[in-house]
Amino acid sequence: MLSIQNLHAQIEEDGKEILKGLTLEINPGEVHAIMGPNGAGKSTLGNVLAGKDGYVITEGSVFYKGQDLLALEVEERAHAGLFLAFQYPVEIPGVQMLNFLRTCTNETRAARGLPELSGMDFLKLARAKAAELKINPDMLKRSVNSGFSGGEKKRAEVLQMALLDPQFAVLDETDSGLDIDALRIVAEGVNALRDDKRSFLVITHYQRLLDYIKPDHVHVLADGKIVRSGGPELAMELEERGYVDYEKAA
Amino acid sequence: MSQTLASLRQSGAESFAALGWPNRRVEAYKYSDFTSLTQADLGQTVAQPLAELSDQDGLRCYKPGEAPQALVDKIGSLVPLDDPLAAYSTANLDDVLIIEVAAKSKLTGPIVLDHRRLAGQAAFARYLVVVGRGAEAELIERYASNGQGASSPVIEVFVEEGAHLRHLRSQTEALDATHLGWTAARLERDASYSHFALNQGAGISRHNIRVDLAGAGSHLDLYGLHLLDGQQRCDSHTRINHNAPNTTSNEVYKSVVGGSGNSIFQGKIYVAKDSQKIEGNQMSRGLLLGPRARIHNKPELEIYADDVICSHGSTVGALDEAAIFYLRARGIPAAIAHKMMVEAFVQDVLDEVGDCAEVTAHWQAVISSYLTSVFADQDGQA
Repeated sequence: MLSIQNLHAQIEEDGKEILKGLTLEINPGEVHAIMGPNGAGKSTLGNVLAGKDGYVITEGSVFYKGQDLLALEVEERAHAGLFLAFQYPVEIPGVQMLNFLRTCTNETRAARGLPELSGMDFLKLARAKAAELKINPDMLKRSVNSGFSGGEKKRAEVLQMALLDPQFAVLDETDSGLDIDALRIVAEGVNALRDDKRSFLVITHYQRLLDYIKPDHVHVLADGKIVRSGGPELAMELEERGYVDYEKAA
Repeated sequence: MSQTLASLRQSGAESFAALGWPNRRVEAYKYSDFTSLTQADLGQTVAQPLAELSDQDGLRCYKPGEAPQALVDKIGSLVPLDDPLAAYSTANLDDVLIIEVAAKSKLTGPIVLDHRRLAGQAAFARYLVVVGRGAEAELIERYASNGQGASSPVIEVFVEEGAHLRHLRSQTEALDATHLGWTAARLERDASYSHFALNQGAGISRHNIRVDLAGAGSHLDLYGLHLLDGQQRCDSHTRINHNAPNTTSNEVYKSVVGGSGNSIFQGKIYVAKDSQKIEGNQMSRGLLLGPRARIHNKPELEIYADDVICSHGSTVGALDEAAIFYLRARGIPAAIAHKMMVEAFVQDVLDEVGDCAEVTAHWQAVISSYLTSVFADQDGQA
């Protein structure tokens, strides 16, 4: 599914290297968690996979379903089935949520050779998915993420994920700013999408999220590299001991 | 030509002879020089028919020779001849159409003033609109052309006591045309006036707006859009005079500029000495679509009363890259994402344009064709 080899990335503006030889292999149907201290490069990894400007890849490769992911435009990556759930979903005043969701769904469907959904069909689909995520349907009439609470923003991310039907989803600190109830709803939404083909990369600072989204593999990212990999028990260990060992190493 | 028009024309000519075309040393023209206009930019004066209006209940139109003297006396009373462009237009005026909405009537359809100037011509449309006490009306004013030359229209609007007027103006002239427009209005007690200005056309344009809130309790809404591309220069200059207490005004201008376009907005709110309890809010926002686009916004407040609420805000920026990335990360191609962001930027002005289907459709069509061409040009440069 996703194969990251010796990835080096630096910030374009100041040339500071953030990822320093990251290697990671994710197979279909697997859920991987990446944990690490602040500044380890967790968000950079999500941004680089989604294609955000402002980073320079100096070394290494990322192959997604056999194709060179780094050669694709941002929207092409989305069409190919990559989804990034943002740590901080962007507020876009003036762009209505429903219009945004319909545009992204239909653009993605068109790119995948699927017929466009009519306004009515789409509205039914969006309402049904929103109800599953306990999203108030009035939210669809508001501007994208504008004035949404932290929990509403994260649920809206999962709603977009459900509509876009990705093959590989990166959840960047999806637990930040959520209370337990919101966390449970978001996790249920993610778990509903788990199957033997779809893969997830869950980026988080805290073990708490992994109580709800159970990973198959856990990795520790420190100073731009995976420094340790293991099973779910690794997350428990990190929860008890913190990142102190890894911060020293960095 | 009646005696009134002849003498008005004479005053305009004298004033223009003294003032000449404004250069940038004139404060009101700080960002717009008009001294380089050529004869081709201005066109040949050809007598142009004024808009023809169909009859409807409550609406009367007059030529100056037939109108009651009280109406004729209003001609030229709002537009200041010490402005060179007002003087230029007045010096060349040929005819005036006087439009009167009878007191207490509510027109069933809009008053439509449609202008299509032909290439090479100079046009000097001139209107006086009087909305009688307690009446309600909608006025649509449109300027289009198919080539070089200038339109220099002047419209004077009186909104009488308790009357309401919505005035929707669009300027979509040819890109090599010149447009020098004047709108002047006076609001009496408890009157309300909403003016919308869509500026998309002409290579060089200037729209002067001056509104006198002369009666207590009167209210003004002023909305404007500049949609520019290529080498266009568009200058809106507005002045709102709060000359009576308890008057309110709300002004929003938005500029979207691609290519090497140059958008200018100068807006002054003036509050006279005894105009207490007034509220005047102004916002000007600009969106630059490329590295050579320019926006100059100059808000001004001139306040002589002490119990007032006045605000102004001005922002200029580029499209929000974080938002564009977010849209693209959701599978929306860059070109569509850019359009969505510009549409979102102008949406609040469009929302205010309101329920008249014809007007909304026209504005949407202008915005849509602008977006198609401005982003095609951007892509062409990339």
